Amino acid sequence: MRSACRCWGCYPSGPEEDRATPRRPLVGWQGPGLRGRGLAGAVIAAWAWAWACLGTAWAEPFEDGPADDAVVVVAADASDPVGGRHLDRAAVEATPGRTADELLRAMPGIHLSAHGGRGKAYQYFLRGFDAVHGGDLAVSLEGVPLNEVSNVHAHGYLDLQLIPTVLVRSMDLLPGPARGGAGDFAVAGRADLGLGLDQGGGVLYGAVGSDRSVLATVAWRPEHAAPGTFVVVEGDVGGGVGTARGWRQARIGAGIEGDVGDARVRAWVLGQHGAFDSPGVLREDDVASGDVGFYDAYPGSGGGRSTRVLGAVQAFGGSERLAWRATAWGGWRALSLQQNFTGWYEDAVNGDGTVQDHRAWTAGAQGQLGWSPHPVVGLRAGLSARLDGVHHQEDGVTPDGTVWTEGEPLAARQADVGAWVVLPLDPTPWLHLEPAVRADVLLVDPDDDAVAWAPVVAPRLGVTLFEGAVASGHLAYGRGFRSPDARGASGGGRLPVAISDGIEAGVRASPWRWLALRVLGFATFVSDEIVFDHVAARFLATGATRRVGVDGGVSFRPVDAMRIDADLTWSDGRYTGSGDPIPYAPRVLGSVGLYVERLALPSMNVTFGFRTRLLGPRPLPEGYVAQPNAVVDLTAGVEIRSWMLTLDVDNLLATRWRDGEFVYASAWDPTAPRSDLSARHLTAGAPFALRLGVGWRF
Amino acid sequence: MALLMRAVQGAALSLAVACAPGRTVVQVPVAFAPSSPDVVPGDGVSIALDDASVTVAHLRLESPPDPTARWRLPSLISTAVAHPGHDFAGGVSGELLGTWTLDLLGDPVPLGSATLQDGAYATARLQVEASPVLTMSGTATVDGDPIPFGLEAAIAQEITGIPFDLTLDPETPPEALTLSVDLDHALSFVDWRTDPGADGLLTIDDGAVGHTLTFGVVSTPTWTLEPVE
Amino acid sequence: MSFNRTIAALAPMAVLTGCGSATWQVTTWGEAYIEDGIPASAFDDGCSATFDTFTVQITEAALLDGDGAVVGEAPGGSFALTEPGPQDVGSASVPARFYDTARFRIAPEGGASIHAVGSVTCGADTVAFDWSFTTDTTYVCAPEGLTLASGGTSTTELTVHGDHFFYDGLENADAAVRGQAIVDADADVDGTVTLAELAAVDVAPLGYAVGQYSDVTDLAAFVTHLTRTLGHVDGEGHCQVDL
Repeated sequence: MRSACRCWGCYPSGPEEDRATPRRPLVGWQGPGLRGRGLAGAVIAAWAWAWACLGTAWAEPFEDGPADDAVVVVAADASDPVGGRHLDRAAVEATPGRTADELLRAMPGIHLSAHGGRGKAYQYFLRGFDAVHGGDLAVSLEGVPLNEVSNVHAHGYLDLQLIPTVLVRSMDLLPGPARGGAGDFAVAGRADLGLGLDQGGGVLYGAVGSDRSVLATVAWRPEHAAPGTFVVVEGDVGGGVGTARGWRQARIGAGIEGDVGDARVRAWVLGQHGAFDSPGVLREDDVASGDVGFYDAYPGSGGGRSTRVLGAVQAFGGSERLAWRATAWGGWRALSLQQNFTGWYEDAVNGDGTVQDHRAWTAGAQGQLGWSPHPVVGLRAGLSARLDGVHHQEDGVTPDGTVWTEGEPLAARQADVGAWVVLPLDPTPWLHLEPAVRADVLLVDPDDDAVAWAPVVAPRLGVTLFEGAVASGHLAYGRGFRSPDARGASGGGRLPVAISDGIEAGVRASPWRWLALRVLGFATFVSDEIVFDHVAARFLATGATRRVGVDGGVSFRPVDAMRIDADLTWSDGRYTGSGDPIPYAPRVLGSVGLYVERLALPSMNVTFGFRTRLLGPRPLPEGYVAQPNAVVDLTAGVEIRSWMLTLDVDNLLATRWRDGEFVYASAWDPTAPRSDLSARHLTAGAPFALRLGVGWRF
Repeated sequence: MALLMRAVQGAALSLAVACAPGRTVVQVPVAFAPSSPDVVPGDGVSIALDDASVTVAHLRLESPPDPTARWRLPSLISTAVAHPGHDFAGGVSGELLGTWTLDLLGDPVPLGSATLQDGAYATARLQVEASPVLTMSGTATVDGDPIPFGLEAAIAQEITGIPFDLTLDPETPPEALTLSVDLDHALSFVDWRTDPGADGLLTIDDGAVGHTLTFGVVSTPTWTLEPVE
Repeated sequence: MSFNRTIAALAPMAVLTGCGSATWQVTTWGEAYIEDGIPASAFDDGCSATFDTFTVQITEAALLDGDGAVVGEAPGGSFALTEPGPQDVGSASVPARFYDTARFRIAPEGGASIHAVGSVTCGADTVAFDWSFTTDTTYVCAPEGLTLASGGTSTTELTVHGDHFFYDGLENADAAVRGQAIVDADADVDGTVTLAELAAVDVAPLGYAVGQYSDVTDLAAFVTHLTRTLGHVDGEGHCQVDL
């Protein structure tokens, strides 16, 4: 279903099969930034200003519905990706996942691997891509990009610990070729999270877990205010199951949303501080021999501290024919990671541990426009600019964290100025076309080197056949790109940019209201896989690659509040020249889940999510293959009047599964001779843990 | 549902056991085969050794170099940075870790079981340790004249490129590997005609004996590693 | 150039650049060691050396894409590295993109691959040398940040390190630069060391290390082997050599 202003991106509201259509904007204009550490204060000041300006707005009654949605959302991104998925708040609540990062597991074809504890970004794998810590997966929050450019640990670092899950109001999960105005890092896919409190009033929530965890959340939205008006405070501490798995997280958030004249205006700010242990990796032979337990960790495995503030001011407005959206945002980030994945292999005296320190500020703005001059042709366009300043350093440390050798610091500013245009065309009732092009100029300005730059021109095309019919056809081509890492900018000149060209073709069918099917084939071609080898500190052109695959899914919805989803994605990624498989990327990923979304029973609402994730074998270096896994997670909640009872279970069947496997040489006993033989290493997947919670609405 | 899930889980784990291959590893015993005390290094010299020992450590077995692998593929997890040399180095696919003071004239001695991964091998390397020091003593006969010698050298060098031609099929691994030493070659670089000095005993400090003895001991052809089929 | 100005200047260029061809320029340079000489401070034994002639024959200068395919070749030729400054080897039109691999070959073609004439001085002793080599060496090199913009030109330099002639080890990274053995090799004491004289000197007594190259037993073979380690890229960038 599309609304009357569908071409120009009004946010859909309707039954779930229609909500599977993601139409949130993902790109925008970003402007000159504020400097240094004062940025966080500036963000908070901006939010305070917004609160003052809109102080009366939240007092106005807010009613959910198409009229508000039409005002709020404009200039949406592109026609429906057949493999995409939209989750509203009820669906989010029914999705197993303790953090916003883990909620991304609802994306078909994705695998998240944790090798850094609860506080470090996951490693993402999507449709044959090893997206490392987010380099090939663009994620935004209300259109504000969350990937961190030139993060010391990985370019595109994607850490969603900032976002309390209670504030995740919606998720648009979009694997596949870049579309419309998708920008930096949208190589294998992208996602956008909606921010806000879904229900008015206050919530006090507390939970305790068998993993020695305690979670406490206080959230409040004035009864008649818009979802963007909220205050949230959250504390999350735990010891974890096993060794070196503890964490402490504190999150705050505040937002305000209201009308100023004909425009809807909102402002929000989120802050997070955390400290965490990291269990790192274990050698498989050590686990097999019993030298270490499956949930143990080697001494000095590391951990980290993470602090982040991000805020934005946004305005939306317009009519059915002309709609606009503007966003300005900024943030500050501090990250320190200590890690050691090879023990004493390289240095038998001090060990191979390193500590990475990262300080960064980010600022930007974006503007988008949707215009509907004629039923056959329309226009969507946007401008975006983003400016980041980074300062980071990596030092060698002994297991107790003492720095014994200092690395070279890097200080740089990085910019991305882009523009995009989409021309939606409806030449016939059964054909919808969306040609688009995005152009960017990327710049890196190191403190001690010349400015380097790179241009990107990314054409895209979306074709939809018989949309709204029982079966619709979908075809898409899109070029995605990943900006250069500032560490590769030496001597000025033009920088390398990773470019991917993806196509996908598929069919979506809904023969009955309770059944939806999808099947698609995809192929992604990277003419020259440019990656940054952070060990050698240089870029590598590892050759052309191609990824082909098939994605399919069934969604069965016997009643409105219940659905059974099954997804299966097969992908084959190889180097074109040698035919060798791209290591680490899963070939088969699947999930089967039963979800109950706020099912209204007499005097109570029930939410339930029971999901099995299937992770197929993955190719590893030297002919190794990682073992497949199946993991079951569960979430459940009952709401009776003002009270809520919740239950979350990680790894219900208590499987000792491996969410990461790596092959290389390591040495964990400095007194023993060093072995040069490659060995399989593993990161233990989430152990069995349950968390019981009680909430009270006021 | 739980039973169904458990069945799925069981099937997946069964698959895991059956389908998680890596390189197959076999254990192959390694023995050291000593040399004869009667050495003929050439140039009209014959040597009767009374004592000869050297301390070596860590036998590493290398696959053939892959010149098509232009650069190492990046990995999330850091690996050892390659030696910044000028030649391709094969990867280590087998090894026997340990330190042994070898009596080069004694009985054959087992060194232990080496761990070998399947695949092709081309070379081996072995570390010569400085302590305990290398010792060689005996009498060299040069043009009919006996020259007693007693040499001690603290050598800390790696012997590289020892030929080791093997394609390991895990189904039919070799029974053993034999490491042997060719003292004829090891001592062929020493100038036995060097004036032993006033004490009549040739020592490591006489002339270039220190260099030539080191050169010979770490010379690749001095060592042989062969599979025993 | 300020950051803001750069943005303003490059924004229009973004429209003009994109897919297309670029020029890959190749130069070669012997640096100060070959142009001016190797000072005593660089030698472990206090010797010094100068070159009067240092000619290399470059028979291949190729740029490779990520799959290892040659996308462009500069013509190459014979280059006298004692001339000051980097010398132009040639250029090639290649697709505009990022590259990480260049391949060079120094090989005989109508003459020696390397011809070095000069002198070594140790204390009061000085010997001259005039050596020609016919070694055939292919260097696979990793230039840093070689991104060729459409319509633009980027340069890669094959840098020749003259001090490698005097290393005392063939494969150990901690090899020292030593000259005394060269001076001592002047068997006929005529002030000139020939390769034949070097061939008469065993390396074993010198404390030199040959590593796995056990066929290298004399100083001529040793120096000849070292001629295969002279090539580098863009100064200190290492190249791999299949020996």
